[in-house]
Amino acid sequence: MADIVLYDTVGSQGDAASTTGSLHAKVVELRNYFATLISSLSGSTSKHPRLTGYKETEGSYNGWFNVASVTGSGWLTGIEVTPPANGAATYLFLKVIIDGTILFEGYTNSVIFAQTIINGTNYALSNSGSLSLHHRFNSSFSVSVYPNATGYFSSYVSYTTDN
Amino acid sequence: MEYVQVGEEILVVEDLLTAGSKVGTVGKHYCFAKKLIIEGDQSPLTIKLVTWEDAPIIEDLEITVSINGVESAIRLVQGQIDLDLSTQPGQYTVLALAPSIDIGKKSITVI
Repeated sequence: MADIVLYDTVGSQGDAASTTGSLHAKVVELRNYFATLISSLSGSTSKHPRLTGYKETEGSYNGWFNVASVTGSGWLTGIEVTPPANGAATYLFLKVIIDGTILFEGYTNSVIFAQTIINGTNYALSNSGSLSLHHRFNSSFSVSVYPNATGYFSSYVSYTTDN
Repeated sequence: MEYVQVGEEILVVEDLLTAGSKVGTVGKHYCFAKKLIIEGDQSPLTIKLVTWEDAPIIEDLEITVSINGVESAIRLVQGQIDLDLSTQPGQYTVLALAPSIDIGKKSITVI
């Protein structure tokens, strides 16, 4: 009788992963969970690096330009921007949305976090610059720029995907 | 590759592939949904508001016109307006500008 109870509790090596099954099943469940967790956490360095970007040569301005609108999962790792080059008072505003939440947005919002890492106020960049980031996205992210003047500008975004 | 409108933008969207399998998509700015065009090789020029696929947009709109770098406000009526430069011969670079609309550009010599 005791052997049967012990067997039901401990189970055997062949048990499938389960949160409510035998001890063997729960161990398999934990092993799978940690494998998934480690895989997602190491995404920024060990998965698939990608780069996308946009450059404007026709001189359009005063509007949001989507540099990268990505669906999938991975890590946002960097943003480079070069503002319009036609005067000291020209700049780019920057907007980053991760999984539907605005991480920061220049022009309309001022967030101390960004002001500490970007040279300028309200995320406005008057000189070329880049940001190194380490932000997880589980379903999507987008990076947009808003030039306040005509002229050439560009922006590039680096990221990795899990798969 | 496909084109989708998101707000005032047209994005060009491509699949993200790993070993031939789709793992997501990436879109980026292709153009704005509206654009200004400048028609004519001599004065008067006609400034028109059209879609990114060149269909006329019949609406009034305040825009900025830059003539050799000098800007002034002007209003499109029913999606267009004529610009008369015939009173002063010379070379002109004309820009038609409005927020979130692709600019129109034309260089002409008025005799």
